[in-house]
Amino acid sequence: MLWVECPNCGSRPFEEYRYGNVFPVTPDTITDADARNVDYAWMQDNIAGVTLERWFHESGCRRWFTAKRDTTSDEFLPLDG
Amino acid sequence: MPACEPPRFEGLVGWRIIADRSALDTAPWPAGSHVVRISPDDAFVIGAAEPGVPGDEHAIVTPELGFAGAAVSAEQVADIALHHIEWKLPAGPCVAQGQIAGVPSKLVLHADGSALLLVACAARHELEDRLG
Repeated sequence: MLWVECPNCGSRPFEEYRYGNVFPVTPDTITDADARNVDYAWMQDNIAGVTLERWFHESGCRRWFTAKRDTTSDEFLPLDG
Repeated sequence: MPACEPPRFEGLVGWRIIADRSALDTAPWPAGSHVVRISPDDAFVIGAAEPGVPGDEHAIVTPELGFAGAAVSAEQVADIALHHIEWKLPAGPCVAQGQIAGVPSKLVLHADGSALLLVACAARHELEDRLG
């Protein structure tokens, strides 16, 4: 089972959370404002490796937080690491 | 048959406060009230008297009637933890939040092992059934 560390509540099974997707990163090469908005909203990078993600602890403190996860191993890493 | 008597819930009267975390840390809570810190910027104050948060002029203070609570003994807490909680229950005093028997709940743990079990009113009967 995947366990996620909530900064307020501690480690809980992933069923208690809502996954809020990765932080979208828009490349600097896209300069048009509309194109940047489209890229931000719709273009998923689907990274194999370390990503910054948003998670919502729906069954606990009901707060959003940011987590760093390696998508190849499902290991959660320290945010400052 | 359950190892011990399942908790029986009753609706709670209180106040929900969203405010700056340092203001909540230092707020002078009304006498007789019981404060459940849901997150650093979110508190549920059980009690009829309206609390003030002088440290945050933008604090949101609103009546909260959406929680039901049940006092549970240390024996009941141990039974619930053994049979209905997947995660590691911390030692009290503290607030432990997460799914209990699959229902989002909060355990306000006291130093002696007893606790106040909180659940949303809408889910109280479901939790009662599952713990029973």
